[in-house]
Amino acid sequence: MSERIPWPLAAVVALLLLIIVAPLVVPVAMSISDTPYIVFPPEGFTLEWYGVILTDPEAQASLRVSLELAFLATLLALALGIPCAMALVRCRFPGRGAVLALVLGPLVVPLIVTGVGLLQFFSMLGMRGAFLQLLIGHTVVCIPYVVRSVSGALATADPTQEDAARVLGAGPLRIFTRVIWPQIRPGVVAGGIFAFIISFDDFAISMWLADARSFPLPLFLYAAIQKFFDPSIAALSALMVFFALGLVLLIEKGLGIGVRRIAG
Amino acid sequence: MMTTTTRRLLLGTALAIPFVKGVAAQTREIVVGIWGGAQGDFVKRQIIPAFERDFSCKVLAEEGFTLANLAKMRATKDNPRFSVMFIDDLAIPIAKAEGLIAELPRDKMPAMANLYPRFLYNEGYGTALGISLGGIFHNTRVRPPESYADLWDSRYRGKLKLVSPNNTPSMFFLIVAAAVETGKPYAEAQYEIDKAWDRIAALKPNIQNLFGDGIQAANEVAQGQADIGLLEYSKYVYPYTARRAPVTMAFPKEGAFAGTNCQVLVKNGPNQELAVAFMNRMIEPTVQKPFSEFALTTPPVSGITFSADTQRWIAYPVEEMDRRGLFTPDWTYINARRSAWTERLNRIFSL
Amino acid sequence: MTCVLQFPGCRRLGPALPAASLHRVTSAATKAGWLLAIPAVLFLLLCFVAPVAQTLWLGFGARTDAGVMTYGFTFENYRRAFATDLYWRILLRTAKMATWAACVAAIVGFPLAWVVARGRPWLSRLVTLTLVTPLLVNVVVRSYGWSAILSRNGLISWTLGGLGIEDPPSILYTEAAVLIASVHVFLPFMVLPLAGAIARIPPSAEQAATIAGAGPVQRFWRIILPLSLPGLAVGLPLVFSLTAAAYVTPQILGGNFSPLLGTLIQQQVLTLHDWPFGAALSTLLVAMVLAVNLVFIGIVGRRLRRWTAVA
Repeated sequence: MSERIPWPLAAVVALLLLIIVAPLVVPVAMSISDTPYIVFPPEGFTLEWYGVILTDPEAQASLRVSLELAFLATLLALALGIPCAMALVRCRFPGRGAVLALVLGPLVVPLIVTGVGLLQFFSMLGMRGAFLQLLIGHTVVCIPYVVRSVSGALATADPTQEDAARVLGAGPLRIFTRVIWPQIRPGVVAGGIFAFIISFDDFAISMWLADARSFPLPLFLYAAIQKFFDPSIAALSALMVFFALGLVLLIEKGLGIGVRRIAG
Repeated sequence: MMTTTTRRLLLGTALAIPFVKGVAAQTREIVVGIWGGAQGDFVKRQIIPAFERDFSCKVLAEEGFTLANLAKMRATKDNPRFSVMFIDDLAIPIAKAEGLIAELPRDKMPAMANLYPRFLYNEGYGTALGISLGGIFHNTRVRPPESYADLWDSRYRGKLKLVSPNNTPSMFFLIVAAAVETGKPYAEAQYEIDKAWDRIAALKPNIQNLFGDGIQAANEVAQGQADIGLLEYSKYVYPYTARRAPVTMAFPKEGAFAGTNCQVLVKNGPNQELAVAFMNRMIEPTVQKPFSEFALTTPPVSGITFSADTQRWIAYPVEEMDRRGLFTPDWTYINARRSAWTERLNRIFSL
Repeated sequence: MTCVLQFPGCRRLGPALPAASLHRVTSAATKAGWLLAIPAVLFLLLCFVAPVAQTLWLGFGARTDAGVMTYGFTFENYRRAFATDLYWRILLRTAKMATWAACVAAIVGFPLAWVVARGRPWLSRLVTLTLVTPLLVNVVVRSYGWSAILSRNGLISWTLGGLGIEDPPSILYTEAAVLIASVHVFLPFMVLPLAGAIARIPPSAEQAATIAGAGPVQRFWRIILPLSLPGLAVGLPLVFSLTAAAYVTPQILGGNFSPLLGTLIQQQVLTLHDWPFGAALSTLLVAMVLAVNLVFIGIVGRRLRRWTAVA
């Protein structure tokens, strides 16, 4: 249902988009300055700072950890979140309200509390392996987003189609793959993307659970800020902006429809 | 979104995990909690690789945030992950009282012979690693004040950055304010902080912001967004002064503070023997010299000769520290009151 | 596309979605419901509730003296939190800031949501993707970007200086800076559900209003706003909750002058090593956010039924 957008509205929207993009563009501008400290507006021009960051083996290792973590946490959150969303939307069962509150809990509890709690808890269990701990922690914070978007998709899906399939003798698995899945796919994709973003950007949980072998990118960034005073920080920031843009374009290319449903 | 890349990644992780474990089982391994910044970088890139070669072991340096290190020790008390932890001097009494750290076995640490006695803490529960000078940092275009009292002048309106109560140097600030208020030296003023609250509140119009990250604040001062930052450790500022950023430290006549980074042995941490060897290595003069030259901090051990160039940045040897009146606060006294003082600082600056 | 599941009680926001979505109330469904929910429930009970409860319990189960933690049941932490005005005033400020962020996000988000819902597909996508990008960028980087824009010699001053305006007031290190940055990043959580609601407004409703002689203003107040309430009902509490829990932005952009409760919690845990008091403050924050959500949902739920009945 697209229509013409009146020009005053278009102008307002254009201005807002500019404002949204501005703080992400500034680090890019600062990253090319050839001063030994960060300035705005940049002075001189150099790409040296990108070299500094790109050749840093720790930056590369951190990027890999962050990517692996985000992929696995997304998978886990989807595996746990999709059935839960189906239960919440399609079935009314005793304790439904409690389940709802539980699933949304990680959004409400301050992350620093969740982080300390997890560290204490894992230590009490004698559990080693920071990667696994990080994975669990990230999955916890990703689940609410998956449940939200999948249940959003389910709520608008038409349950009479499921009834029809059932009447025609289809089993639960068949109903899921043939009827439910195509309808909730955009919600699942959106929830997955969201989970990926939340994990990839997480600092508050990771700062407690990470170790030297599994040191996600946001922690590296924070440590780097303490280490380099110079525009290589801006370069790293700029690279992260570029990476985000790449991710967004990927989403756009492959799954254009999904994005709209991210928060809905 | 589950493309081939995902699958490859998944497969890669699945394969990599057992592999890493296999290696870890063969060699002895310790985890050391270090700080970030230039100091941490040097430990990671120079000291640890050499130690690993000499002892054919694996040292994992976990870059923490000085403040989080104690929290991490506490959270993993039942089942320690760390063997050695780098923390600030003020945290040692707390760690000892909570039973998080063990006494250092002096007989197994020959390098302790060179340690200045004042840098062995709480009857042998930790040693210093490097001493940094606490003072103000300023843009090189600005003439620094002679006395801390000058900072209350209205010409600094909105041009000062004050360290946030979250950081240890904010305790130095309280002592400075008490010294300005009472006219007494730090050693006495530190017990009279409660007289200084009005004076502290009077500084508020001059404060542009309370900074949590000293390096970022120094960067902003270098850019000219503010004239002076108070107070911070020289180790965060000097490495950039040395690289010609327009920011440097100054120490008004009331005197400089000692910001001492220390190492402690985690109680029941894995591979204690290796941990002790590592701590011994950290205070050997052959390690301390390049470490100090790189991070521009003062070593806690005697018998090192520095070039005149390095000597500019540090207060060494111990006689020089005394000459500059390098002051170490009574941390036990302060720790007991820090929470209440922080509350008052919050009330002054945050309401 | 509205999420029914925003917060407990939210399913009372029924009118926006097919009533049939909750139509199966049989014992088989009960069993199926639990079977489907049980993996997530178990996982969260074990890996979220247990650790968090253990930590929050410290608020009652321990106290800190001179930086040293001792165990033993006590109300001391709560007594202290309520005895000093500092904490409840900052709790109040946190609520105020979160409310502002939610409202500003709603106002700013409306035109964006309109374009996402009604614009041509390419435009709709462009807006959506632009909105989501800040979420992908680390909070430290974002804050850096904002301080470079808002500072005394940042982008804004630089631009104004170029226009001949000297020494403009800097909004860096004020509450406004924190508000701007919070709205900036949490905007998609408002716009996308809002767009979903707007997209579902039947064109016939607007046409009918136009025929009945309603001007654009009347159409907005009587048709569009009430019918986009389901979107607002999702977006407002979400932006509120996310802003209330923030602690990095108030430090970097607020200059620590106007910390939110999250900042004080971090201070207790990391600086003062006072976990029990930090736990007490966290419990207050969680209680505040939950209470506001429930009250909000209660009010909006009732409003919604009335308004949709009118429309």
